[in-house]
Amino acid sequence: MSNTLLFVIVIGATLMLVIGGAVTIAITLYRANRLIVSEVVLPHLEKVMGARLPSQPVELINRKEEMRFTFEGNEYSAFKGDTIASALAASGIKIFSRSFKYHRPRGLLCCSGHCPNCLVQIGDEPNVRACRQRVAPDMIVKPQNVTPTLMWDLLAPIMRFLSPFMPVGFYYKTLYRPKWIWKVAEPLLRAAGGLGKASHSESPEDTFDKQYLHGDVVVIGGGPTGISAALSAAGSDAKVLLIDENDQLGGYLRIKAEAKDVVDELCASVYAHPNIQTLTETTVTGCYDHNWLAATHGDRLYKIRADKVVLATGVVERPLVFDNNDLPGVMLGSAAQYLLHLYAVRPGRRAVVVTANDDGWDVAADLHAAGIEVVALADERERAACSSAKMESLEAELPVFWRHIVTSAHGNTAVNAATIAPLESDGSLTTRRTRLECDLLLVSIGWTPNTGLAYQAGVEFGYDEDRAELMARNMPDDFIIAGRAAGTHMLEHQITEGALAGRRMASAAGYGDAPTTSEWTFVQEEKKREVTRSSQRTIVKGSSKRFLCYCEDVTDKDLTTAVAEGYDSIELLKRYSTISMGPCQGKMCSMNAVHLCAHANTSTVDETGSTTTRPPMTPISLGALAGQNMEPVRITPIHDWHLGQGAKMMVAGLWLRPEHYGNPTEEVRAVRERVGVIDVSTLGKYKLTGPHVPNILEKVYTNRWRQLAVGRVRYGVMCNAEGIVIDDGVTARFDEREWYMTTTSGGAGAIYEWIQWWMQSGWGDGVQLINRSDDFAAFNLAGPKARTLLKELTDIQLDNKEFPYMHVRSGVVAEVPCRLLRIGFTGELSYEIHCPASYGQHLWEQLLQAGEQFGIMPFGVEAQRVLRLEKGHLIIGQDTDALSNPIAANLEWAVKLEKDDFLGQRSLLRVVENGLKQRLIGFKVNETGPTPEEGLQIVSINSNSKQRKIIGWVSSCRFSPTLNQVIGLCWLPTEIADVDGAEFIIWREERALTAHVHHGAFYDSNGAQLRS
Amino acid sequence: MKEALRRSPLHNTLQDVGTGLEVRSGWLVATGLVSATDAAVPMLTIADESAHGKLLLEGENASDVIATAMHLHPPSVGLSVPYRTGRVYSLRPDLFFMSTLPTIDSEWVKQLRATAARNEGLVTMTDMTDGRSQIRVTGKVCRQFLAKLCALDFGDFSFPDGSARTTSLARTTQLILRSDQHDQLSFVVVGGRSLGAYVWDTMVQAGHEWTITPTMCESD
Repeated sequence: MSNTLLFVIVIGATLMLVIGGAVTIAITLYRANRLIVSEVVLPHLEKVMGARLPSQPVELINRKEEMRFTFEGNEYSAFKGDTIASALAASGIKIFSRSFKYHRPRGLLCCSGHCPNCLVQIGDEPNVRACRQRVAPDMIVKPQNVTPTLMWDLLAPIMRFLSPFMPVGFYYKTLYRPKWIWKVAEPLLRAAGGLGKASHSESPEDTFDKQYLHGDVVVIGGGPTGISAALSAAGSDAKVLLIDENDQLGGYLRIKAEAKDVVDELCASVYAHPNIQTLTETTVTGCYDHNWLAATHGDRLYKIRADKVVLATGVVERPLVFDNNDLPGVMLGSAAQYLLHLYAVRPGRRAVVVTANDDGWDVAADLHAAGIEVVALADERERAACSSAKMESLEAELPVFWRHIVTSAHGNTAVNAATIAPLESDGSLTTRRTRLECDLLLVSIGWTPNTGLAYQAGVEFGYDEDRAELMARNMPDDFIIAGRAAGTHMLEHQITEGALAGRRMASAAGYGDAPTTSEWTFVQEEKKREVTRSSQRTIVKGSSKRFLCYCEDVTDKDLTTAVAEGYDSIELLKRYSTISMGPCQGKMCSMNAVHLCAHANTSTVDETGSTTTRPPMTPISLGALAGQNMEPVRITPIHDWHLGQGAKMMVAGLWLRPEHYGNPTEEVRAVRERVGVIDVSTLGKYKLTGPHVPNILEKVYTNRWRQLAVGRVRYGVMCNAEGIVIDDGVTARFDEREWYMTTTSGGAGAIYEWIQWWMQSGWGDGVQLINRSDDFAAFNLAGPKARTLLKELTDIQLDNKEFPYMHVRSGVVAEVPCRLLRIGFTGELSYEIHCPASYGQHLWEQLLQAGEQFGIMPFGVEAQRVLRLEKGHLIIGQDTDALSNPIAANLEWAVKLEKDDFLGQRSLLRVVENGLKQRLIGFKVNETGPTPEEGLQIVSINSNSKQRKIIGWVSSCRFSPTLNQVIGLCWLPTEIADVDGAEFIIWREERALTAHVHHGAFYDSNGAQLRS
Repeated sequence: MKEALRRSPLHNTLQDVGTGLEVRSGWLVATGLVSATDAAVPMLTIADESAHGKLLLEGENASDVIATAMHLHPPSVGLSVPYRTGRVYSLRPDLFFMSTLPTIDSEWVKQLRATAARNEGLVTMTDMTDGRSQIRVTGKVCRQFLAKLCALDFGDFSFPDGSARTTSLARTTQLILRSDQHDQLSFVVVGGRSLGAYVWDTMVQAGHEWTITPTMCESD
């Protein structure tokens, strides 16, 4: 008995194993076969046979012009007019990208430039939407975010394994302790997830620029509503800008063959209208205050000043969230229509259409007409609620599943089947399932109004539960929404509403009459009677991943968890999960996320609200934001001569100045021993006229001016009201009423505005100030031979007696009318020669030619810095900063505190009263070796603790070829600065350099050379 | 000693474009450029008019001086009236810009200066010819071209022929004058001499899409 039983059991078990094994093998083979057929054989068949349909009535392609391009290294063909997406789809390509986080395969979804599924890299430009970008001959297109190929992305299985450990926001919770973990994890995360690769180098092909546009009425959206609005506003004589993101006007009508003639006629009217400027392939990305719009067109950014705006941006088809809703082959119904009609591409061979409105029936009809097998048309609605002749005829030809919804898509790298389920009367799913073999699953269950710009304009929206759509609650006076974006879905209503909106905005801009209230009310009432186009259903629960956000790979589970964790406001949810923050900017996911949030909080969609849409609405390249490179550069009249002589140029503010001509030390020697000339045309130069010029000078300078005689020049320091030195320069008096002021090069513009400000604040009576900085070229001829040289070129009396130090003369030099100021920044006998800028180069060349016999050398800014340092002259802005007052800066001799009033006087009186803590003083470095850099710290070192304390800083320092020693200016505590010869320490590269205080000029301390 | 000749701020730029130099009205001028009226010239041309005379008359009584010395009814702010070979533009109620051909009529200038000096109020006349670059752009796409550099509305209504606006162009302060020539849309851009070469280069770059062509200054 026991043996028999044992035998039976063994036989039974063996049979079960054999049968089980056979069944398993059969299932595996069946699945493998199906997988091979649907995901390998069929696409290969498409590649070989092509998915291109015969000519379509409204196709955009030109079949006579064929071109080649490469995608992922493989060559493909395209017709002129094809987008990258349509050309690839025509070649049977299903996978266009890998998802941001999980590296899941992604295919075409919207085909209208909204979703992130077809982002590709073209050359050095990342994130190009393949469904928008036209193919160009020999274009090289690469996929993004793949390792190594789209089909075999190694990160996909790894991410699939890791995905349970990487819910939304996991890095907030896990990668913060220990601290170093984020540094390790961040580069890995960034490498694993991401979009394209931006180029870091400047491309000569970059043609980024900006353009300003103006319009009385700007119509955004070139569909039937927009065209109607534009024609209507233009008919009222308003200047209209009509902007559309597609390359042709017509909007959704472009795909309707029966509307072709109407669209052509409307477009012809628009293009022929003199008041309408049309911008196609232009996307408005932002609406700022006062209807300031930003729009992009390729590499160009438009900045648009719109008086009034009509928003006719239409709608975006809303995806449905169900199991594996991101598989390639799952598409929006409108996307399939774009492929079919505009590019004659068959999106698949066996299609399941899931819908909740009449638009889905149109999709099914289009597929059927194109010879694509429609396996099922699943309509969420009750049969009784729908009726139309078109529907009835289609129902006779196609398997229609009323009151059904899709629950899942199946497949590994593309759709090979879909499961649909019937709905209970309350809308919940029954347990019954029907699996349908297909390679295309089209979803057309509702529309989201494209209202991002309206939000930015301040329009408030509410959710209409009956229509399952957002509707505007209020609108600013200078902005109006019309057409599908305003919930108007019927063509005749769109055209009427567009026309009224156009008239209304034109009238508000001052052109023509506004529509009457009854006209407006009529169309609003009419559109209320339209059938509902959108379903309340957004999510169908299941057991696999269901993606709301295609950009950031956010699932409904992620959001539900986040809400449970406390991120229950839609704005918080957005920030935590990053939903709607990717390249689609919420167009695909925002409404679904709001629905989910509302459901999770058991509140209404209206109560939940929606996230704030911010510009840019669509991704915009940094190049377009930057535009054409416009960095103003100022050059002197002698600039080209400097370049010709091999000068090393330096940037000084906006100016380009010669730093030196090869040997600054030799340039210094030339000035000290012979003669040199420097281009100082960069100085600020103002003409002051009027009887009361001394009054304003007394106010803005710290010293006295009232008594300055005609023909004299005086140095002056300017302070702000806080007593801080802001500029210095010399001012000459030409006659009783005309004065000539010079300022530092850097201060030229600011000081002009500053003096103007004070003049307009009550100190300008009887004075006019004219900026002549660009009118005059100026050269400083300096050196012991300066006078002798100059005598060769002018009849002006130059001897010391006739033309002493700090005087001004007018006359002709080298046949050029000039002004000569005898001043001496370099510490040598020198003449600052000012002449009309147009004669600048002539005079400069004459000076050099005449100076040849004296060994003249042009000298640059570097030599000038050494020369003035030898003389102990400071440079405002280098030796002073925003805390330096003239008394501390060793300029107390130029401050007359006893004057009636001047800017900074009260502050300086307080400085004197309180005493100085630091002052600017000269120094010499005791040691030989490297020259201390400007900005180095001066320190005191505690002999016991060896602790260093900062007590000052070096403001200028150079090796003086004249003195054969390193000299400089520095800020020191007064107790050190006041003692001539006092030692102190400059801290350089962890080493102490000993220097000592020097009082007075280093060179020509009594000024004999200057006055010679 | 070489003859003292004046050079435009665009001297070297135009020297590179042209075929040589010659002296006209005391200025060294590039030669070999096509004429703006040449039928073969494309839709957008650019010319250096820096040698043109530029006078500034400033003061509360400046309009009186214009009325007395020039026998003109001073234009409204932003507009201009023709005078001899140039135009008088009103930039502010107390500020007028006078644009003339390269040789300023010295007698006229003297008369103007004398009238200004005699005026009871403070009126100052300044010759800005040497300190300003003056660039003319001509052609039917002028508006689109200038809109790449400047935010003004250059439409007929906002910017009619003979009007003037001081504005920011390519991030520099410039005076823009609408001054159509031979029924051709034309604008003149006047700005600081030191920025002239930058503005010219920026304009040439911006006008690349319309094949902007440097031409002779018409007065040359």
